[in-house]
Formats: sequence, C-alpha cells, structure tokens
Amino acid sequence: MPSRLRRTRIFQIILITCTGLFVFLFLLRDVMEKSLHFFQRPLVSAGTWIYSKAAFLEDSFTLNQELNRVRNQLEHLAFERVKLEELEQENQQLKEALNFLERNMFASVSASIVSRSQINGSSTFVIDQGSEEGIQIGDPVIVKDGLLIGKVLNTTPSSATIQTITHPTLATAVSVLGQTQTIGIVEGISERLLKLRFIPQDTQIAVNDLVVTSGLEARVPSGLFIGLVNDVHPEANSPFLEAIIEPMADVRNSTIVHVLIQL
Amino acid sequence: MTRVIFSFLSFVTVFVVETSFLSSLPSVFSLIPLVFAFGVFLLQHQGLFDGFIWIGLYGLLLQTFDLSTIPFAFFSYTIAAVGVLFTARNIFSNRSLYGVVASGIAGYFILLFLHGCFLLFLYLFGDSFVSWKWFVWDYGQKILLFSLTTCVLFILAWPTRNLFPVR
Repeated sequence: MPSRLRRTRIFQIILITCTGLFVFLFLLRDVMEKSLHFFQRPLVSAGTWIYSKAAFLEDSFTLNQELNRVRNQLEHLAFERVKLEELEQENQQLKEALNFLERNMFASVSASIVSRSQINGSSTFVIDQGSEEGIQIGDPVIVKDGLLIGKVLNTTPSSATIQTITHPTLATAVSVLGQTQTIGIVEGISERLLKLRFIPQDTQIAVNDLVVTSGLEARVPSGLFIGLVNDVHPEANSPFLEAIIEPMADVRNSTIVHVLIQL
Repeated sequence: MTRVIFSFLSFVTVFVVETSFLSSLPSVFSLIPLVFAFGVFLLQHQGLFDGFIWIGLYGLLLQTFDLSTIPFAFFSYTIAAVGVLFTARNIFSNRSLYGVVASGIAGYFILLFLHGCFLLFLYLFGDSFVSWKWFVWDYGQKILLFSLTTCVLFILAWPTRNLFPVR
C-alpha cells in the first residue's frame, strides 16, 4: 500500500476510534455499560464457578493441616460467641431501661460483579449498580452476613468500581471484637493477608481474635467483620505493635455483593 | 468502515472475555493477557495498525474502570504499544512465532519498567507497602502466559486468516 494512502488510512482509524471513544465515554457510556453487563454477568459466574471447584481440589491436598487450623479457630470462636451473646443480652436490657430509640442509618444495595482486575488477589472489581442506586465513593461493600470485602472507589450512574481490603492503598480503621476503641489501621500487604499497624502497646490483642471495623470512618459502620489475627509482633523501629490479619471473606468466591449506603 | 466496526466489536468481545471470564478463573489462569496477545499478534504478524489501537484502548479502559494498579494505564500501555510497533518493524520484523513473542515481551518490559518506576516512587516517598516479590512474580507469570497464548493464536491463525487479512 502506498505510504500516503497508508498514512491516510491510519489517520482515519485514529479519528474513528477517537470519535467512538468520545461517544462511549461521554454520551452513551451508561447504555453501553448496561448492555455489556448482560454478557459480563454469566461470564463472571462461569469463571467463579470454576474457581470454587479448583479451590476445593487445591484444599484437598492440604486437608489435614487446614482441618487442624479450622478446629482451633472454631474453639476460639465458640468462646467468643458465648461472650457475644451475654453482651447482646446486656445491651438489650440497657436499651429497654433507657427507652433507647434505635435508628438504622444504613440500607444495602445488592449488585453482581461484572469484571475483575487481573492482579493476584483481584484487588479491584466492577459491579453493575452505581450512583443511580445511591452508591457513593467510600461506601463499604460486604458479602454474606457482614463480612467487609472492600470500599467503593469510583462510581458512574450504572456501575461502581470496588477496591478490596487487600489492596495496598486501602486503609480501614478497626478494633478487636468486644472493644469499642479503634486500635489501628488495616492495609493490604498481599493477595490474602492484611497488616494491622499502629496498635498501641497496651492493647489487648491475641492470635485468633476477631477484627472488626471500629466505626471511626463516617461511611463505614462499626462491627463489620474483617478477619482473624494470625500473628502479633512489635513494629520495627516503632513504639507500636503490628498484627497480620487473615481476611474472612474471599471475594474470588463471590458473584453477588452488597453495598451499604447511608440513608 | 465495516472492517473498523468489526475490529472494534472484536476488541470489546476479547476485553469482556478477559476481564469477566478469565479474571475470575483460579490461580495463574486469571492473569492470561488475552487483549495484549491479540494486539501484538495483529500488529506484528498481521501487520495491522488495529493492534496498536487495541493495546492503547485496553490501557484506556483499564484506567477508566480502575482495573489496573498502574496509574495512567492508558499512557503506559500506549508507550508499550509504541515499543511493540517499533520492535515489530525494525528488530523482530520476521512474522514468525519468535517475532511475535519477542515483540510482545519487549512491550511487557516497557510496562514492567514504567510500573516499577511508579512502585519505586511509592516505596521511597509514600507510606504504602510495596511487595517487590509479587511485582516480579506477577510480570513473570504474565510474560509466560502471553507466550503460551500467542502460540495458541498462531495455531488458530491459519483457519481465521480471512478475518484479519495479512498486509
């Protein structure tokens, strides 16, 4: 192809692409996203189904070790549950005594995952609900019964990008279950681990303790489960302690999430 | 015009398959760089400028949807596409499997350098945890998967040669 004709052709391709991009990003993005969601949802479901089957096979090789670890956790959680039930009863009695008016400040929006980042740990993913449903940046995202998996990073009218708690730039204020004081900040350090930093030296924290959100952040309610403490040690060159937290939720196993929005 | 629309729709299909299906798969399969492999294949083996557009568009969509850990992903992937274009036309100009894989790896090394610079900046001036081990391991896996994906594309190239004619 003659050089001039080739250059003209390339210019045409670039012009058409830029026009198409402009139309997509500013005019028809909402419509195109909703159309794509129809195809993306079953693809994500299929991939996640394969992931769950493979995870089962992978776990079967380390079954004994995993079984012992889970037994230890179960014993610890059984004790925690008894304490929790006592606290709930006491709380209910106090509320009745004070004629306490409980206000539910949060509602939840259910959404399907339509795409994920291609990074180890899937540290961001996109859902098919957005600002039209009241979702705003910073809203917490949970799975099952209050397991925190991430926060809203970005929104469009019909979609939202979620950053998982294992992302290295996402920080969350946390406390140990049963305590009300914020004890530190949790950040992602790898695919499936979190680091809890800036823990005061006098904090009572031990292996297998449950870590929850402390409610310090405006849009994040307290009491959302994050994970279990795996290890506690002094921070290098610092007067604080740090702990390694194992998240309880695996976002790779989920196709449906719930975004907590403020009323 | 029809060919451009077909190329754009093909890109969207491959992008959706990569970010929705492949990224949900377990283990190393979630890192298969399908769009990048297609882009390099079109650019180097088929001699089509569409491949350059595919790689640049890929970076733009990753940045738009915040699905990349590299900031300014559009900029990074466009630079990588320029690198692939340059190596395809001047260094690895032989339209063989070797040429395609070599051009693609050159593009990945550009991405690795740009991403590494960003992480270094974060490590030196920011307060975030940076895992160099995971960074190198991630890119190592992607380069290997890219090479394997390109081999598969080569096997499928002959039966599908009329879809994107060689220039």
